[in-house]
Amino acid sequence: MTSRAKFGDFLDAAWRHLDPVSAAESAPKASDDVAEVSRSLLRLVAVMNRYEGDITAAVESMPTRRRPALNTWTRAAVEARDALATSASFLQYDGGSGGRWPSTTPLSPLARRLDAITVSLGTGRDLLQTHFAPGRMSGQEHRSEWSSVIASPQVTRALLTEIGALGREVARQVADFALSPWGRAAHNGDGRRRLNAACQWLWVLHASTQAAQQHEPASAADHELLCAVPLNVLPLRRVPDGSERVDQLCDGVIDCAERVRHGAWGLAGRAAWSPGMSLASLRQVATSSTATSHHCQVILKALAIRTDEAGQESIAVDISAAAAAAGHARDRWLRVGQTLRRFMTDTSAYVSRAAAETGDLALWTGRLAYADPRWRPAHGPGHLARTPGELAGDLHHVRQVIAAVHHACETLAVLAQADQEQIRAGADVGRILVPTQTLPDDFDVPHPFARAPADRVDYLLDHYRQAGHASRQASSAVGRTAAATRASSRILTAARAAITTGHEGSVARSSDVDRAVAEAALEPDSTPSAGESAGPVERTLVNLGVTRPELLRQGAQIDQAGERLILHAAEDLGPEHRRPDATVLSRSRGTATLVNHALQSGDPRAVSLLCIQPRRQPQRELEP
Amino acid sequence: MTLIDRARDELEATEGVPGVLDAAGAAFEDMLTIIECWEDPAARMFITYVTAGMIAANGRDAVLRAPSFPVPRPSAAAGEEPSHGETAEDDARELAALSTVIADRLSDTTRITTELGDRIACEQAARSARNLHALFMGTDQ
Repeated sequence: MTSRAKFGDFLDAAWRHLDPVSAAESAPKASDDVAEVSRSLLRLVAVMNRYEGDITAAVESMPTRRRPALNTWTRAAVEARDALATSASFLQYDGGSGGRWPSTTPLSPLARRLDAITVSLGTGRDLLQTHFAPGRMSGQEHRSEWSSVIASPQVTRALLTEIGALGREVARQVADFALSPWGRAAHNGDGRRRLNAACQWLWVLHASTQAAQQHEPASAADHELLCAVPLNVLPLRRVPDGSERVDQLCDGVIDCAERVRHGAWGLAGRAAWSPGMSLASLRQVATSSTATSHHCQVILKALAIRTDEAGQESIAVDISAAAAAAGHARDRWLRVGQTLRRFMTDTSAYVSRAAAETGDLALWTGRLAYADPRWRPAHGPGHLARTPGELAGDLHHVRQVIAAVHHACETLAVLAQADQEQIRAGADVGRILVPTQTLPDDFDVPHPFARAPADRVDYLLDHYRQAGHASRQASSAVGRTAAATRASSRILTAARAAITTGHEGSVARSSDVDRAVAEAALEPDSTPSAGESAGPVERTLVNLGVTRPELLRQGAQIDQAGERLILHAAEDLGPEHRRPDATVLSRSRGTATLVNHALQSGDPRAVSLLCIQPRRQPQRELEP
Repeated sequence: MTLIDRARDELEATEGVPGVLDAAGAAFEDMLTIIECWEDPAARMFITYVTAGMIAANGRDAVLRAPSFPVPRPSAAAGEEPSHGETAEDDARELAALSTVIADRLSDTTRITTELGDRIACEQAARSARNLHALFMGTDQ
């Protein structure tokens, strides 16, 4: 299947850099330098801030009717931006490099790890941005089918949650270094305090996402969807040469389907003038879609037999239902093709690239369906379907074939929608015609063809609607088998749900999101280890070597009581009371440890400990 | 006499650019009528006939665009029950043969016409006819 880089590759890399291979590596080093670590953290904060900015920009570009459902996460994004800006302000004190990359690699291991995280996150952001372009007037233009997925509530909350979780872990490690009682950190009191204060605001960032998470949780499916966003680069166009194995044919189907969907994207916007919007193109799509759905039915029938033979009766039943749905889609597409024969367009026989490549999809699926490795549409009667065993030797192969069929069916649903929109746009400007001889006698037109009457266009569009509905049903049916067999294409279902949710404007109605899975897969930091979560008293006991549970529990209770007292007192001061600057709270190591622990808890009330400053922008655009 | 026979006779008998265009357009229409009869998913040549339908419609459209195409006449087959062969394979052979006649007559017309629009239309329609022949004979690439 596609070997394109995915966002998850870079997110995983960022987390790997945060996960020292040994305890020795995670401990602050004498060689760690406050200035170096501060500069590296500033670069990382700048990249995180760009993510937050992208999210707010995407929301601002949405139609107003879609905004209310995003309020929780929009608010989290805005708060996160403020927290990051404040964090950055504590790191920009030296007026030196201002976060630009140094000419030499930092000596500090912690700074090097922070730089590596910055590179991973920066590259991940670049990957997401390949799906957008600057808008003609303002905002961003969507450049692929994934653009809507990236801007969806699902991916937005998953991304914010990830940034918050990364911020929390970065803060923990950097604050440990800033408060370490030895090494070079100990000799730079002001830098240490500023570094710790910057970390405290990263915990505020985390708390803002946690608050949103409690209200509208990001699920495992959301996270999976975020990680699946690919680089916006199309696979190369290929046609089968007859030497391909089944797995290679599956890859070919998927690559081809992705190309076709990409080609279909944005067709309607060009329909009023493009020579590619021709009846030759529309007929090619309808013909190829008829053939493709027919092949999908042939393939699914064989798969149903194969899974039944393997004792997987329930999957076999689902696959049989999907085969019937594919057959229904084929019948609907056939009707579209036949109806199109009674229409013309103002342009001649030009076939668009997108339409031509639907022929490739019919060829790839045909090669997968039939035993003849050189099968072509003209091969006439008598071509035999592959035997079930030949098509899928084991469950792994079943998954591969289901993924290929799922991609093909999804593509047909996208094509039906795209061509409907094209026809509607073309008809509006008089580009859809009919042969005059098919018009009633009272139409006195002295030409072989004339503008199609509105009722004829509606008739045609109705056939497209039926084909689109049947194709969507087929894709959903195959999607269910993909979910049941954990085929790679199941991400298509999540992507479709994200786009639909975005269009409908309601996060709460995203019924396709499995909440049970979501709850099980919430933030990894929701169950931190005892060492990480321990407060100052408990941690002191642990460091002393105390292991008696009742003593540790007592220490934890004292920590919690102290924390509650501080939070209650801070809240009691009221918002009008000016808090001290975060560096003041970091002056004493003991105070800093207490405040850090309260902030690290993710309790939104802990923010009341900090002095909320007017929103600051970085002094200059950083170049991570 | 089948639709295919009648279309072939008409094509072979007609004279002049408008006449050939008219007969070719009618022949493509008749082919579409036969093709639809075999567009049955259970039929052994289903995909071949579906593809043929697309090509025949494109050929018909090309002819209709020719400047010398005469003012439309009512479809000759309208209201008639189409008669076709016993099997999809039989009709495929008949349609392949008719495609050759269409392609030949249109190619001849390309050589005699002085109107550029007619020449382009005839070339496009003749190409469609040749593609149909290759499709039905199983020799397309």
